[in-house]
This record gives sequence, structure tokens and C-alpha cells, in this order.
Amino acid sequence: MQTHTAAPAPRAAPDRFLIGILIGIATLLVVAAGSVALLQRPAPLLPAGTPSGTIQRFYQALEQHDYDGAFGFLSDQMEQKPTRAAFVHSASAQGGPDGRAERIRIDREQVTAETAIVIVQITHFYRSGPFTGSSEWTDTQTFQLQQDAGIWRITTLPYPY
Amino acid sequence: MAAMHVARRVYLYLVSYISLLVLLTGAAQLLRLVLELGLGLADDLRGDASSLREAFSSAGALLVVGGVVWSLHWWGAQRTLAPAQPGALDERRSVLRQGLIYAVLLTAAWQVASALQPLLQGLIEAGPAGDSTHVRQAVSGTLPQLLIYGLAWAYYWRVQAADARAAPARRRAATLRRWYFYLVNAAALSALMFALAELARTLWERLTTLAPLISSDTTGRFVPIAASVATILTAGAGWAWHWTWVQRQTRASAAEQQSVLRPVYLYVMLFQMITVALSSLAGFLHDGLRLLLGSNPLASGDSLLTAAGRPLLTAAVYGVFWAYHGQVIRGAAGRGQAEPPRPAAIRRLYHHLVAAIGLALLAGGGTDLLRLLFDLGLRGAATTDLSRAAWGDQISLCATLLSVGALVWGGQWARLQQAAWGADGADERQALSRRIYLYLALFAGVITLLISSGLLLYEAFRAALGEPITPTVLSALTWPLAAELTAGVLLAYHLRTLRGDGRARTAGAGTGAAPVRAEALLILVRGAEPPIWPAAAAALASSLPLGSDVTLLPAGSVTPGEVRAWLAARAAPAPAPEPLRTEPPLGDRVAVSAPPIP
Repeated sequence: MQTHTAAPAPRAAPDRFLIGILIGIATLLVVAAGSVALLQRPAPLLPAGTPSGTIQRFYQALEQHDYDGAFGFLSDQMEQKPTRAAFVHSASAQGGPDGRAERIRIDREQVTAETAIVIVQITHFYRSGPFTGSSEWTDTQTFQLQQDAGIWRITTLPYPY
Repeated sequence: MAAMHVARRVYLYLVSYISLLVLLTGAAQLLRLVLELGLGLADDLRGDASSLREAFSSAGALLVVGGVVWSLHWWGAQRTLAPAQPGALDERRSVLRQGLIYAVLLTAAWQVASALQPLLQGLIEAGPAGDSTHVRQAVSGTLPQLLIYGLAWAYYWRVQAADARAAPARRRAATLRRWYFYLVNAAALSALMFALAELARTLWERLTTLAPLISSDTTGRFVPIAASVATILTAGAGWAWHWTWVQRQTRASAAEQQSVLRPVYLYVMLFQMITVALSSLAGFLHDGLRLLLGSNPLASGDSLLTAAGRPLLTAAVYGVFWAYHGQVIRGAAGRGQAEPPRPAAIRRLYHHLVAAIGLALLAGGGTDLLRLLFDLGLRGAATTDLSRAAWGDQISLCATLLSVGALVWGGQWARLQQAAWGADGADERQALSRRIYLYLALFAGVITLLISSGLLLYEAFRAALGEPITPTVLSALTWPLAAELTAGVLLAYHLRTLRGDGRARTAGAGTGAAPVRAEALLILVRGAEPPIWPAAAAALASSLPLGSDVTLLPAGSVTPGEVRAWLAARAAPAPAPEPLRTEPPLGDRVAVSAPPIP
């Protein structure tokens, strides 16, 4: 009587490309986490005597709900300057709905004699989870400033201020 | 058993595809975050880090979940491919697996192109001096997508290459591969031609207006040609690589040469090229005639040279690709092989479609030109007070339509008629697309005659009943008169053509010409289990060229000798009929009958 024993099926060679991809995924996750933890830094304070510095302080005042302070950056020569109450009302409404984060950065600054244009890029992030499609979009806001006794003040506010 | 495999594959490959997209999205977002942090683009003016936390959380979740699900399911799918695994080859050849692979390749190719074009555009716009912020933004916004989806494309290309080496694709799986290549080729070539034409027009405008060829906008960025150049580089690279691969495969494989999708792709692209090229030439002709006849077609600020060059350059760009693809088609015809039926039908459909469009332009232009001439001759209201410029506009439009229509219809129809009355013209004359074209022409002619005759009779009755014949009435008569003439001539011509086809078909049937029969091979299977016959027949059919048929006919207990005798009797020439005899002589009664083949 002959007995035949089935030999175990030989295993397929490991797919090194696939293993490399999995290692890459893990590496990316670790590097990203490390980058967020280590590379994030408080924004350097721009010089106060520059248009960008004025805009930065304007946004910082809004962030700290110091609306009177933010109103102080508006020039008296501003056309159709809002009243303090109207500005505070409008600015406080820009806090945004819950679940939205923003990143604000200076895109460009153009200075011409005593006037300047500062273009700010704002990226909005919706905290709605990762599976709800595109959760960020970017728009720009343009400020016009004028130098008044050596101090840059805002003469044109973007919508919606 | 087969249904179980299908259910398993649907689950495995669908989940793999969805989880892979989740993984790639998370990886691209995470890589972008790392780049932005590294390039200093993630700093917030207020020092707020909530956006960083949000971006990392979202992308990290996608990466982890997608990575785990995809790797588990893809590993499960790849396990079944070991050479010793039963059904490994079937797994490699399965339509669902090939469908996943080419869906990933198509998705990844689209994402790579969507990232590469803006990256190149951003780098070109920044210029040699390099606006560093702009460059950093272009890189961080596009490079992650380019790298991640490029890696995915490379991996799955490697997977399909391994599958092709182990088990070459057949029929439906091969069709999926062709769909991928021809879709990518169509998209890339269309984008390439569009961008080339746009670049040519932009450079022409700058040359003829003596503006600098390359200039920057107020921000110092080289804007005007950046988008076109970036698209040319991206689409050009994509088309060149994919088209070269297709051509190499076609030269080496009869199945590729005879595939239906190839002529569909070639003729769809030809149709696009001819439409754009002829529209541009028609625009040039129209504006040229308007200028000659006293109208001013130039937009404000444009010189004659600038305005003339634009449509000619567009036509030239599309014309070059039209010539190249025409050569590709002629090269296929010159291989000496008989054209399979479906590719032949696609070819005929293209030529008849273009002829029909040309005929419509010819009829419209001719009718309108006759209308103007009749109105002028009858002193109708439409032309009495026309200014020179208005005359120029009207005549130039009619002449353009007539010229372009005649050129297109004449060229296509002459080629079709040459094929229809050539050596193998029977198939051409009896083709469905030719029938549709002829009956469409008859239909349009008859309906036009119906309407124009009705209008003529209407005006005739009114005049007979005493209505005054004013210049307005005369103008109203000119279109029906012109339409009667044009439609009548074209209707008569196409009716004559249709009758000629009918006479040729009748003459061919009367000569007793034997219909062309396809070669057939008879295989007699005996001794195997009947339930496996359908699977065996399917396996045989899958290994045969496209267009082959396998028919299963249960034959009971018939023997190979009986089949051999029947085939021999069928192939032998028919014996001459015997003279009538009242009684066959004894000994001559021989019953010869072929076994019935059920």
C-alpha cells in the first residue's frame, strides 16, 4: 500500500515592494507626528513699524478678543470708517462656528512710499472628521495701509470686517 | 464554486480599492503637512496651533485606517497567487482583479497629472529669479500628491506586469487594459493639442504685436505661457509614454491589432482633430471674405496679421496630429490582413458621420446663398437696403459654409463611393452606416421639400386670392425657392445612389455567387463527463481570437467515422442529375445517407 502525503504548498516569496510601502507608511506617520510636535513654534513677532507687523498685531488683538485694541489699528483717514460699536460687533461675529480652525499667514507685502498693501492667506479647516470630503479651503484678504506719523495704520479693511 | 470565487473577489478587490484611496489621501495630506512645517509655511500669524492639530488628526486617521484595511485585504488577495495555489492563474486573469488594478492606475495617473501640471506651472511662473514663497507654496501644495500617487501607480504597474508575465490577459481582462490605455491617451492627447494651440496663439500674438515673448506680471511672475507650457510637458509626457506602449503592443499582437477599441479611439480622436482644424480654417476663411467684401472682422486692437495667424496656427497644430493619426490608420490597413467586421463598421461610421456633417453644411450654405441671390433678383425686402458691410457679412458666411461643406462632403463621399464600387464593394454598399446616411439624406430632403412646397403654395394661394405682392412677400418666397432647389438636387442624387446600390445587390444575387463562409473546425469529444463540457467550451473560446464562435451540439452516440463520412460527402461536388428511369436496375439500388447530426 502506498501512502501519499501532500507536501505543504510552498509560500510565495515576500513582496518586498509591499513591505517597503508599509514601512514607508509607518515612517511617514512617525515623522509627521514628530514634525508637528517639534517644528511648530510660536510665530515670530514682526517689527511693529512694518505693515505686516501691524496686520499681525491686528489679528492677535482679534484672537485675544481685544476688539478695542484692534480698532486702534484703523486709520482716522479711513473712508467709511465703522464706528467702534459696529466694528466690535462685526469682529466678534468672525469667531466662526464651532469646529472650524484657521491658519493665517502673510502672503505678500507691497510698500510704495507711504502706502502699503498686505495680502493675507487664510486656510480654514473644518473639524468634521476625516471622511467628509475636503475639510480645508484657502482664501485671501487684502489690507491697505497708510503711514501716519511713522505708524502704519489700516485704511481699507477686507470683507467681512 | 465559481460563484464563491466571484463573491470573494468582489469583496476583496472592492475593499482594497476603497481603502487604498483612503490610505493615499491620508498619506498625501500628511506629507504635505510635513513639507509645510519644514518649509515654514505652516506658521500661523497669531501662533495658533489648532490648524496643525486638525490637519495631523485628519490625515493621520485616514492613513492608519486606510493602511491597515488595505494591507490586510491586499495581502489576502496576493496570497492566492502563489504558483502552487490551485486557481492562481485564474486569479491573475480574473476580470475583477484586472479591474481593480486598472482602476487604481487610472485614478493614480489622473492625480499625478493633476499635481504635476500646477507644480510645473508654479515653478515656471516663479521664473529663474525664483519668488521663494511662490515656489515653496507650489512645491508643498503639489509634490506630496505627485509622490504618493506616483508611488501607487508604480506599485500597481509592477503588479500588472507580474500578472501579465504569469498569465497573459484574455478577452475581457485585455479589454480592461485597453480601456485604461486608450482613455489615458485620449485625455492626454486632447490636453496636449489644446495647450499647444494655445501656446502657438499666445506666442504669435506677442510676435506680431512686438510684445516681449516672456514677460512677468506685477508680482514678478512669468504668467502668460506658464499654464500652457506646464500642460504641454505633463500631457505630452503622459501621452508619449502610453502611446508608445500601445504601439509596441499592437505591433507584436494580432489581438491588439484587431481590437475594436483601437479604431474607436483612433476615429474619435480623428473626429476631434478634423472638427477643430476645419472650424479654425472656416473661421479664417469667413473673416478673410468679410474683409474682402467690405466688412471689418477685426476685434479692437488686433492687427490683420495677428487675427489671421490665430486660426491658422490652431488648424496647423490639430492638422499635424490629424496627419499622424491618418498615417497610423493607413499603416494598420497596409498590413494585408482582412479587416475584421466591427473595426470596419467603426471606420464606415466615422466616414459617413463626417460626410453627413459636410452635407448639412453644404446644403445650408447653398440654400442661404441661393436665397440671397433670389432676393436680389426679385428685389426682395431682405437685400434692398443692405449696406456693403452687411452684404459682405452675409455672402461671406454663405460662401464659407458652402466651401467647407463641399470640401468635407466631397472628400468623404468620394472615398466612400470609391470603396463601394471597388473590388470588394458589396460589404461597403450593404453597410448599415451607409444605409443610415442615405436614408437620413432622403429624410432631410423630403421634409425640406414638404416644408418649402407648403410655404410656396401658401404664398401662391394668397397671391391668387388678391393679396398684394410686396417686397416682403418676395423675400418670404426666396427661402422656400432656394430650399426646393437645393433639397431637390441632393434628394435626387442620393435617391439615385440608393437605387444603384439596390441594383448592384440584385445583380450580385442573380449571378449565383456563393456567399463567403467562415472556416469551421469540428471537434468530437467522447468519454468525458457531460457537466464539464460548458466549462471546457468556455475555456476553449477564451483562448481563440476575437470573433470566433464555439457552438456545443450534443451528438449522441455518433462516431468519428460517421462524422468523417458526412464531412466528405458535404465537400464532394454535387453529382450530375441522373436521367429519368422508370425502374432502377437491380443491383444499383444503393442507399447512401449521411448520419443525422443533431
